[in-house]
Amino acid sequence: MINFKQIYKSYRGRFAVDNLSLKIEEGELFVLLGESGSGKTTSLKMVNRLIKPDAGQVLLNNIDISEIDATQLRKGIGYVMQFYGLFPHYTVKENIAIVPVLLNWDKEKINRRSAELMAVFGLDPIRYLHRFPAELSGGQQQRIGMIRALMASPPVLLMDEPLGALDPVTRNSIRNEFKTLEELKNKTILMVTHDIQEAFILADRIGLMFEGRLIQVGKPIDFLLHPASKIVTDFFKDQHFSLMLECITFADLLPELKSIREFRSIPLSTKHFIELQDSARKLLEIFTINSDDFQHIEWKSVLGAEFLILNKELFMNSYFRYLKKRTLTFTNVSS
Amino acid sequence: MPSVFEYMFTERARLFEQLIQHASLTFLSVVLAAMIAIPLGIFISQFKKWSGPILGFSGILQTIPSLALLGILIPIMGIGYAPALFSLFLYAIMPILRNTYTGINGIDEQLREAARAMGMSRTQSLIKVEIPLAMPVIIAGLRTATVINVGVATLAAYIGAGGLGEFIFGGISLNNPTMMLAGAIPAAVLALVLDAVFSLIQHLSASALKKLFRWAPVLLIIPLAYLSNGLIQRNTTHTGHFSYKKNSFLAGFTPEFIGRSDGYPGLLRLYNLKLKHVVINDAIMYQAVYEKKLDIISGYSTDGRLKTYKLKVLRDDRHVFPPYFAAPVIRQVVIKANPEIKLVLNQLKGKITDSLMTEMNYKVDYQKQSPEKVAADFLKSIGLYHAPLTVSGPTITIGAKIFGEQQILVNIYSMLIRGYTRCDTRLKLNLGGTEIVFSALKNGSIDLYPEYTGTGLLVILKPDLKTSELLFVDQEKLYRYVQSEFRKKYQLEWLEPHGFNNSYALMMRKSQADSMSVNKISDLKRFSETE
Repeated sequence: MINFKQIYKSYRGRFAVDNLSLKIEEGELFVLLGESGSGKTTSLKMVNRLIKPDAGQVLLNNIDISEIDATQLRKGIGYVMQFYGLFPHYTVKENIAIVPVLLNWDKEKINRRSAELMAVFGLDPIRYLHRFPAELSGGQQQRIGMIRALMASPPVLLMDEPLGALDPVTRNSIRNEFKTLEELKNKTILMVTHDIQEAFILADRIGLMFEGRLIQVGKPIDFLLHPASKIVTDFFKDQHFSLMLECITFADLLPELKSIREFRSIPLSTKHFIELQDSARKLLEIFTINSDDFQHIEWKSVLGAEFLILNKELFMNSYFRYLKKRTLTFTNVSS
Repeated sequence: MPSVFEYMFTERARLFEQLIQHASLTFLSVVLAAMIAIPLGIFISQFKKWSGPILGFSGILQTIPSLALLGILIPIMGIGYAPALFSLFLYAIMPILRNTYTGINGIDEQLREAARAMGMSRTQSLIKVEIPLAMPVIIAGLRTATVINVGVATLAAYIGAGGLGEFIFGGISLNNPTMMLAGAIPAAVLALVLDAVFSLIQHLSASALKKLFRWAPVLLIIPLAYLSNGLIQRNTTHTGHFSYKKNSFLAGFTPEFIGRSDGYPGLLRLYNLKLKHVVINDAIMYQAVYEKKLDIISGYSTDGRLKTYKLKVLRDDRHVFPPYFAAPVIRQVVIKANPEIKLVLNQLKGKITDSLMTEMNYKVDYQKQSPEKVAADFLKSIGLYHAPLTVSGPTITIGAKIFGEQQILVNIYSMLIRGYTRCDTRLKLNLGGTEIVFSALKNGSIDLYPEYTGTGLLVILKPDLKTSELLFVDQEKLYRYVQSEFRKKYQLEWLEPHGFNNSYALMMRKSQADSMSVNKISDLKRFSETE
């Protein structure tokens, strides 16, 4: 869907983006994660041609975007900004109608769509449509910013730190909306954030950027289980445990559990492996010794390897209960 | 203070007319400037490499002194409304231009980016987002320009375009605070009212501003139509050229000449001469008559510009202008102590004719020779020059008013005293007007200064009108009267007059006066308005 091909961009002799090649699939929510100055926002803005790369191509549906008229391109790409970017001299109604007006929609169609999206985001159209941005809270302004980006139902959505200016409580509630909104389900979304937690909750895939380079792409869990380098390990170190709670699934643990029997034969390539195996072993011990849950565990041997078969939800619950009890010792081990 | 309001009440018709002229000039100039400066400001906000030169140029315009600017404009635009409006227009450009540029540049980069990211073209972003958001700053620029121009519009009175400047400059040159305030108070009120109106507009909410702009054409057209109507009417009657073709004279008079009883009111009284005239600044007037924008002006008979601009002084055959013969005025105690000074200065009796004085003024004011050199050259030419003697006597302090002719005279006095007596001299130049230099003489800060008989009579002695009119006819009588009154009242002595008469005079281009065979003021009778 979006394809970055060997993109370079430098400012004053320093690379802001250094040989970025990346493919974002249709319908996925891809998060570019990194510290400020890592080049993620610069990369994002290349998609709607707010920034022109020094070298390389950005393809959208296999078409080089530099060959599409910029205004035409942008009308087809929703854009959500960190500080909302609402026009203070326009009412909510006028703000969200900007792209439809540029696309010459008729009044009635605009009104219908406005009311529909306002309802989706839980804002009463009658109460809010005629207000000015300054009369809204930060969370409401961000929702209006989202509505504005979604009005013309663009297939692609760019979000530049969309929740960055919000307080933690509002951020959480909007985050949850993100996950459940039908409007967002089938869109290809490229989001930029420096908030690791946010990236892990929302992303289908994450691209981690560091000093202009894309250093690892993958599912959130990959960054914990299979970090590509020390930079990646260090980047997630502080939040390691809470991120694991957030994203480890039974499927992720299966290989670990499977290998219990051959514990000693597994190469101890990273610390995380040790920890996980350690905890899985302890979990198994708990199950074995005194848990009622143990009766749900079944061993099966397939082609000479041993597998555990159990109820996934029950297993995850037991596992997290155990991890929470053991937080202290766990973090001690990891540090 | 009550007298100011009484005066304003009696002059209300003229004041109202001038207030309207003043407001119309201010308003029209700002509207015209806005029509140029706002688009230009938008242009340079988009093409930044132009911003430096264009902003710089508009800044330079702002620094041109108004009199110099009007002087440049006379050959092109003549006198009257057009050059006044054009100058005000130039002065209004800078604040509007700069604020438009700053306003658009000052917009949050995020918003500009949002506009772009939503697919607006550069023009759409300007029209829909940047200009509306810069509007409060642009309006602040209009506000500054308007308030500045209410003040600057007084320059209209320099060039015959009317306005409250007529009262203000008249009051200043006649030393009449009541008259000055009668012009200044309405001007200040006008400035405050316009400022308040703009302040209201500036702080309107976005939606209210939108409504206002919807009505703006209507709001603008009404006063614009009214004012430009007045402008056209005035322009046709006030341009010198126009009147000239219609074979009627246009005169240009200084505010002082119009206000003083021995000026224009005297012409009306003694010659019954009613000339179509405009109020104009002394510095502009000579050039305007030279450029044929005016036909006749009020000036001074020994002004160096007579020579520069080839003008002819009309003989005052009915003696409306009091004689202004120059003579040194000296403290009697000084003469008693140094009797030789009187003899030395009296050598100048009758030696400086009108044309000699005009010549010397021309050298100082236009050839920029130093007054010392001109004075020494003159003394040498009449054989009175003597190298300074060794000093052994007291120091004589000589004062002078703040213009060229006085400086030449005091240098002549100084050279004579030092060449013929043992006294030293000290010059105190630039003592301002008559009041200042005369009180300096009375209290002994200076010992002598050159004074004019007419000034002695009208400014210092101030007798009733009848006495003055009798004295005006005969210089000899006037001199005796002033001399004896000064002796009695102030213990001051008038020495022998130098011979020239620096009085008010009516003057015309020599070529025109000769071709129409106008030599004396009564010859003008046929140009008098007959209504």
